[in-house]
Amino acid sequence: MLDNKGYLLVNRQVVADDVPDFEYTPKKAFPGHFEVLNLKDEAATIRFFFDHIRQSRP
Amino acid sequence: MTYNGDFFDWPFVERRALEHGMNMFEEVGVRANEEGQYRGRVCMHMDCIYWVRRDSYLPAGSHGLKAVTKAKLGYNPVEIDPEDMLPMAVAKPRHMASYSVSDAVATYYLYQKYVHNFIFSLCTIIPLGAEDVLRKGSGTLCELLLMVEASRHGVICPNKQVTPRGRTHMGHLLESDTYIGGHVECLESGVFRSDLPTQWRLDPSAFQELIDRIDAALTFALEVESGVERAEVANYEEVRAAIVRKLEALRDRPVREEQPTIYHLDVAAMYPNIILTNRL
Repeated sequence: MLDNKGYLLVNRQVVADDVPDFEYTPKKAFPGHFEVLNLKDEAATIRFFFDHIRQSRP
Repeated sequence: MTYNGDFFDWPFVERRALEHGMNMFEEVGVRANEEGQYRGRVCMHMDCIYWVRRDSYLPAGSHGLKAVTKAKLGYNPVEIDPEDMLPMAVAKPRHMASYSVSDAVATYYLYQKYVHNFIFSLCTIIPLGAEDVLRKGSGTLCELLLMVEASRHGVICPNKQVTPRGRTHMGHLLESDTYIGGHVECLESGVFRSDLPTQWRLDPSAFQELIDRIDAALTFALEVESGVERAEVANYEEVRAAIVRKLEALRDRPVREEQPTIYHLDVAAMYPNIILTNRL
């Protein structure tokens, strides 16, 4: 999660179907809106993760 | 931020990335230092488990993310048996998605609500970076705090003791010759002073044991510790009898109210314990 926004990277080689964006909010004070990125395999998933860190510069 | 990322998340990603020809340190500037802590070159890695262990006051058995979430964030996170994850990813991808972000949500809000402000507040008084302030022991933090004050007031401090390298014991190279790993526990808390009577409940058999072994104990104290032959001591019987009398008195009346004698044996751990417990 980054600045109250969630990101879920899905490795489609393991997960059977594309996953749409969703919300997981366990408690009102802790909202979790997730953008889902369906990626073709593990290499693409790790690539996206590294690129995302470089773009967002935490 | 991660939860136990030093031990799990970062080394896992690092290893899998390598499998695909990517070097994690070159990609994002994060790698393990000599202590196995994943530190960032241009960003920070804040592993919340250190806050839980050192600063959360939660008992040692409740340091898992589930227990911490329950205690500190006040809700029960969704749980899934790791063995069920792969079948679920195939059969119910959407269901799996919310399970898989549960730990991320808990870690994120734990960090936002507790860890971030705490660590960065400490950073304003302790001369270390945030990744160190998060991970160092409370003793080190106290020492640094004292150093800052000493320097400010022109007080000279002794150098930190450095053990010489390459020490040996009976021909074997020693990595360390000190005892590390002791834990301080608070058995009882309250106000203890040498002028305030305290309730005691003693174990009579322990005193009987001391009486039975009195000669061996005195001989050890004399001959090994003080280098005096027992035979040379003129009033041995007299001193021995006085000690036995006192031990018998304690044995025969084990429930008593006495003014205690206060000993403080470990001054080095005193400040960390005051900080951790808010008690002296």
